[in-house]
Amino acid sequence: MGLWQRIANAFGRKALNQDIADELAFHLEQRERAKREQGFSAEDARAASLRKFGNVTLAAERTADSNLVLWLESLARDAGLALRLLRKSPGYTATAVLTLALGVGANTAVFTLMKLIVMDALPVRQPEQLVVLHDSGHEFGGYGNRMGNPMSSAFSCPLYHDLSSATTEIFSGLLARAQGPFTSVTLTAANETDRVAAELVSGNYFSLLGVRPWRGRLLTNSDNEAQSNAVVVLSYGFWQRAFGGDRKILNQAIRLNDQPFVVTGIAPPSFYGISLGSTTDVYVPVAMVHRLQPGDQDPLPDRNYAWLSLIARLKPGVTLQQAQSALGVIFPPLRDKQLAYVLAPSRGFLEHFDRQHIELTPGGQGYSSLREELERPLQYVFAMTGIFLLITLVNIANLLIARGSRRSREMAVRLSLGAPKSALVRQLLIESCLLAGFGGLSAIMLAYLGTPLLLKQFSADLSQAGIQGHPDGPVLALSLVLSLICGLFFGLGPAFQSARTKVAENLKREGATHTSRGQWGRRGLMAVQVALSFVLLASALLLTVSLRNLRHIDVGFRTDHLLRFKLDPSSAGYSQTGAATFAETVRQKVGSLRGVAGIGVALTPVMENSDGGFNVAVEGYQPPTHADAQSRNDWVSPSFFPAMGIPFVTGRPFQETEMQRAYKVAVVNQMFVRHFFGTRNPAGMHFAIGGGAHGLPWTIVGVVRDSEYLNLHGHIEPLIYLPYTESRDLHELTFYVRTKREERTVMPEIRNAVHRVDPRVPVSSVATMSELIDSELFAERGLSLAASVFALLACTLAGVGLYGVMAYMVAQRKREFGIRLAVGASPRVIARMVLREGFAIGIAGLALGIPCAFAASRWGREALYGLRSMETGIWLAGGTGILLVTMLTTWIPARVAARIDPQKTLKDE
Amino acid sequence: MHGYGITNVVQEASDEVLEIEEGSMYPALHKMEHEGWITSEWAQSDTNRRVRYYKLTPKGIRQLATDEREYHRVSAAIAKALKYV
Repeated sequence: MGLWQRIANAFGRKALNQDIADELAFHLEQRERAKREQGFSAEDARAASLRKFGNVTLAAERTADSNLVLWLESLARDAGLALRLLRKSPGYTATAVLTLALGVGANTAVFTLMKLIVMDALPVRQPEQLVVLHDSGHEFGGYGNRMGNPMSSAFSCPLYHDLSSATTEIFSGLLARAQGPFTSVTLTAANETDRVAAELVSGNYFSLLGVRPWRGRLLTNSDNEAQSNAVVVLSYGFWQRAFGGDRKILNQAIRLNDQPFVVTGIAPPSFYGISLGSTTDVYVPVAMVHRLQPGDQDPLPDRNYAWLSLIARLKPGVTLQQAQSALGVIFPPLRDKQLAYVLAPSRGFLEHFDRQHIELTPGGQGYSSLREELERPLQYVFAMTGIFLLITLVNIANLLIARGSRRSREMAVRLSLGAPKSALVRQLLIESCLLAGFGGLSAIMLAYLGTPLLLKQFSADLSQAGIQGHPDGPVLALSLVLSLICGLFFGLGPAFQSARTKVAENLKREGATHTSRGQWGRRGLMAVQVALSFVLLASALLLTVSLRNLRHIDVGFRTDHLLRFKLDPSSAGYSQTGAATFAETVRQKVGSLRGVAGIGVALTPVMENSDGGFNVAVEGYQPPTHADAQSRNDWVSPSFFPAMGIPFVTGRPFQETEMQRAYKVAVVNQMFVRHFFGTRNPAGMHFAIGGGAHGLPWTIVGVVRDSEYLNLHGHIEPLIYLPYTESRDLHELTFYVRTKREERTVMPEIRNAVHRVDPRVPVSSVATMSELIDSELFAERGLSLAASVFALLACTLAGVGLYGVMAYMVAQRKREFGIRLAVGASPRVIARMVLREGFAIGIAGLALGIPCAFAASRWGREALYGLRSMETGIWLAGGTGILLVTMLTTWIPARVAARIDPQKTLKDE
Repeated sequence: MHGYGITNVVQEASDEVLEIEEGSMYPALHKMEHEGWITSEWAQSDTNRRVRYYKLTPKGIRQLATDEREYHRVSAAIAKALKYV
């Protein structure tokens, strides 16, 4: 009975039972016939035969059982033998298991991250029904959010209500969520203040998403009324962090921006909002926005204030296309209603306005800027782990071939002693399955422990948001299956090889000196491994140099000894003028501290992906198109420029006395001058804010050097600096402090100074500029780190693999070397022969690897920064590194070969 | 030889001294097959039944020799020991 038959038996006992029944029936029949021939009656004959046989059922069962048990027993015995054999060569076993674990584990970890960040849907009910609404063709500055996340188009609150009631045929609901403003509020509890992340949401937010309360109740439609009681829902993480998970907080009031809000419920722990990577601490109904900012104009009835992003749930049976075409009819009248509220629209504006429409995109994944930032880098890392997996597989193949040829004698002996080939094959397969199993289990462990670490590298936000990033069951099962497949695949090769083994040949060949086909195969594999390692090494070098370039990028201001913190006086009830006075007081108090060289204020923080801007009319400039008359802007204090270290090219900053409304003075950057003035002198020129405005009230008094605005390496755009006291939007103020000592050491004094001005205003978002730049580079840093780790591992594996191949080669050719030495070759020549072989593998690997690495670097072009002049050097360094590794690992076998004692060797042979 | 035949042979060859408990012979046969001492194949009987025939393998012959030696050693030892009783 063969192996397959037995496996078939284990699964198909029916067939086995039939066999046994047939066999026993035949026995009884024969016995009965013999009895009848002796003269017994038919009945007696039957009874006698049964008596003699004993219990038929029992016999059948015992036979069947013995079959199955025997098979399992022999399996266990083979497994035991395989285990003993593996234990006898711990080096081989550990290497194979560890290699497989690294390859599969790395893939599992990175795949888990990919799945979590790029592929996973929101943790809500039926996410596939969700769609995001975009207002397309809406490109006017100062209206909507042009530069922001393309996923997050903004709508005004009245338009949201209009759309809600007009789309009941296609949507089972439409939810709104505020983006940008009001997302940071001050929590006051027991005389302590803290900034917390708020999300303003419509009352149907939780019910439409299908999120159930963890405790209490979540928001409802009744919370959509501005007059209803102020309520708040806490996220689970925040509830734990701020209130220690105390249930008594339910139905109690907490103070947000100094206003009481009653806690109605706690959101479940699995729910992170609809934006992966951003933390939400409290959910406040949109209708209560005015209570958070009582001093401001109420944004709720304002049709010109677009601040809500919308997500809808399609009605069951309605497709996205159907909803899209329905919106083509529903939206235009609503859009035209908006027009009545636009002040003095120009013709260009009207043309644009008519083109506005709503576009739907699948919303099952919610919004996530993190996803957009990490998608490409994660793809790169995934590609690297793919290459790394290939390397580990090649390495394992090499190991198995080596072991196979080392064991060919053992196999030959076993065959000659009468072991069936199937048994040998089975033995080998069980061995590789065991290896694969151990490898897979270790890989799972590695992935389980490693993924959270990896997550931390790639996104501190996510780990802070309480997302662990442990791989889930299906992913783990997949990786186990992957390693089993790998194990089987590589076990089959040697197994078939040994099944084909000719006994006599193998016994004879033992001790032969010639390089066999397996040797060539191993060298080929080795060259492939070297090539793949080179791809990883070159990538790591390119990415690391690119990261270094990014870190030392010239952003247009001095990044050292620069500290940032934020204050929001309006959250403590300050009016606009009060906020300005507060800011000035802070500026003076902090500015006079001993460790502080300068302090400036900006309303739009630098390099935090925030922006502001408007259409401008510039003296003597005729815009060819509407879009050409746009400029970014920031509202700053005069001290902002010296504090940041942004030098003036010409002119001067606005002066303290010019901070009042009457003086309309501005500073622009070089790009503004190049764009709007060309070669004309900008000093004293005038401009106006808004395309259709009358007169040109603003005067340019100075020009500063270009500096980065939106992010670390955005492209420079025209930029206007205006006195921040002129802004009507004094909420969160960003202070930049130039320090005389290490930045962090000044921070306690600054906190004290601010506390003395007003203890109700918390100091938040404290960070040094280098930290900010570092956090901007989180994706690049993660990528370069991952590449370096994989390159290091790959080179180590290649080194170990090459060492194995060369050492085996030397052992195989011992006699040849002995003869050569005996007839007068110098040890040096022998060593050189071995070294040359290793070198040849290295060169072959490079020849194969360089084109691959080059193609990879073209593919990953966008991840590389400022390498043009250095690229050749990097390639050279990578190539030299790989050759160095090959030489170093060939060195030991070469020495062994050179030290062969010819007499002893020839005697042994 | 099929299982029934084996019981008869054992019985006759031992002059009816050894009588196999027929029901327990089949598990033993299957175990021996598993060890590779015997092989089996199916054939058709004259009464049109499926019959399983067993055959000794080279490995089985060797095993038999080993077991026989072992048996003789033990039984000789027992015989010797019995003399002193």
